[in-house]
Amino acid sequence: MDWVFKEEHEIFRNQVRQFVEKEVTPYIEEWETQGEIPKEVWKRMGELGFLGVEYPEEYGGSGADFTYTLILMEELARCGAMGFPISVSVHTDMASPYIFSLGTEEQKRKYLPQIIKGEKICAIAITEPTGGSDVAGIRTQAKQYGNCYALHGSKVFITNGVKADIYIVAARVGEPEDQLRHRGISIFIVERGTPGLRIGRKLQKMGWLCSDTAELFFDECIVPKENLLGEEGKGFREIMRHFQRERLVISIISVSASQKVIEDAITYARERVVFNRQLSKFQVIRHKIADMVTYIEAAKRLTYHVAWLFYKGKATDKDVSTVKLFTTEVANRIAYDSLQIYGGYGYMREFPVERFYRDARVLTIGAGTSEIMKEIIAKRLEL
Amino acid sequence: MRIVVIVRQTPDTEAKIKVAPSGDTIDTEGIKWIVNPYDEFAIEEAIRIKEKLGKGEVVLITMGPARCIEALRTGLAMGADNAIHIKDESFAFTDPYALAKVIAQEIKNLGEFNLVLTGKKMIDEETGQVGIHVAEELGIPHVAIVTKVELSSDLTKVTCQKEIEGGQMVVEVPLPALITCERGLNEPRYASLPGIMKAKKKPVKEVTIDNINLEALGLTKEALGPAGARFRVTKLEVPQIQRRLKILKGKQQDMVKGEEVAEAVRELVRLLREEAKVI
Repeated sequence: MDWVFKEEHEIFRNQVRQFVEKEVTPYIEEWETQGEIPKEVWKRMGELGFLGVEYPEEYGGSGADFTYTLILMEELARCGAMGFPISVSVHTDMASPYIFSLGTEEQKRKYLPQIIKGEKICAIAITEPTGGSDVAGIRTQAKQYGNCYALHGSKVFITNGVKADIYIVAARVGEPEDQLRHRGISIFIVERGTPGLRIGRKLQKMGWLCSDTAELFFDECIVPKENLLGEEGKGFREIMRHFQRERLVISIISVSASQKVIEDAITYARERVVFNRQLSKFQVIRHKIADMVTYIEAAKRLTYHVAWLFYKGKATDKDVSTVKLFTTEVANRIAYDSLQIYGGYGYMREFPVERFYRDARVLTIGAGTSEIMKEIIAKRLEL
Repeated sequence: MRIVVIVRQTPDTEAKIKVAPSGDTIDTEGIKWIVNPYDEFAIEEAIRIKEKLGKGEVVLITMGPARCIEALRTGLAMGADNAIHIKDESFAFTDPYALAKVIAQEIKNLGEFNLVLTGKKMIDEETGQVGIHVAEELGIPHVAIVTKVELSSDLTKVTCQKEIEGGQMVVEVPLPALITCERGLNEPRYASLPGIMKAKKKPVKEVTIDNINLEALGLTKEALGPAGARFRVTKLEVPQIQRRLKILKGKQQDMVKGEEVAEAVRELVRLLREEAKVI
């Protein structure tokens, strides 16, 4: 993908990098402790155009293309805590795209400008306590009453869920049928403060601490009919389609965060002296680093290849699943091996590699587990 | 109000600088280039003045190889209106004298201008000459190393503040004038993504070596390249930090004891004088 980068891409990368170095990394500790990203930071990113990269100018976006999204996510992922790029990408690339691609002109005009300015934060609510990967099996119900739908059910592990203003919610209209379970799934915009929407506790997680995660409860939650996104009952296919962007962005973040971790580990191995020699001079360490760099390079090239296909509108489910599977598994391998280089220090909270170790773990679970990725690949191979 | 900003490109402050095999320049292979940080203050100040007045034009000008377009686009993305690129690969080696002459000529070609801003120096070779030399060529007053700029309400004068030993100096000059900018003048903004997208469409005028009336400037083509520079870098060296440690030990054991002390001290003094050359 780097063959398409031009001077304007480099300018953008420089600007995002400076923003991250000056306005994100110094505050990461604070946000991780508080368990959230301050509202002002969202607005600042809105001002800089980070929250509407690909959306048209008429809604306040920048009208740029996916190459800029890739650069933005790569640079945000270097901040030192994965919760930050994840939280941002849920807003920009996992939730709001439903409004942009399925919304009516009224819906887009109503919501997109606020989303792009960072005045309103988005979350996507698909996963339920009984299952996430099995989208066709969701149980939240949407019953139609005249001009409204009444939502009943609950959602869990919802990133940005505690603070969000706009929830993109998947619910089922009608009863599930045994053979055609995916029928009836529909997508709704539910605004914060809608009667019947209760935001549960902030969930305590292993990593991704600065990104808030919630449970949501819908009890006779009345949503006006104009909040239906796309056609009633056609949501399943749309969710599957939107997963491509979500999984690709997760892959980009995985690779770039791994890259930052290995850069830091290399610096440490050069500086650390044991047995009167630099750590980096021991073959066992040198080769470990060489292995890691090779894996990251392979993961990056695969990501760029699939990003290119995606940019051209040619990425298949299999392409996206292979990249999500590989990059997130690589990130975990990097987490394990680079922490080993730091020895006891790596286990200490003050070393960023300790956070990466915790942050990386969920990458092979969120946005579709590695097992689901393998199932998709196997299915496409018609095994 | 037309404000001209002289912008130049330098290696990233975080780049690992290697001396080229020739020994008189740096190896630019794989180097990341940035807008000279002092020039960024100049761009920011120009945009702020324009924003405050609610009107005006900010024109960027650079002289250098093709890569310098990135510096211009960065300034355009920050908010400048248009740019002039005096472009040739040999301009990477042009000395400050010729740079100033050519840049000044291009500024004159603009016709009207009210203010020229630039950084107090480049962070690479640190000659700090181009800005003030351009002022000389243009025949306008200059104020160097400025930390505060204030235009009079009738836009005929500018008041500048300079940091001097133990205090500040306030200088007032009539417009048009040239100001070189110091750290502390402002905090340059980031180019936003909409700004970057808009910058792609802003006009950049290219001036090639053939478009310059060298004779009128008393220059030759060679004078603009490495061969004709008025000053020549003869050698570049990376400072070497050598850690040397010498421990004086006793004859029987590591610790110097008893009668050996006097002799060890004499030896220590000799080493400090002759080898370390610190006394």
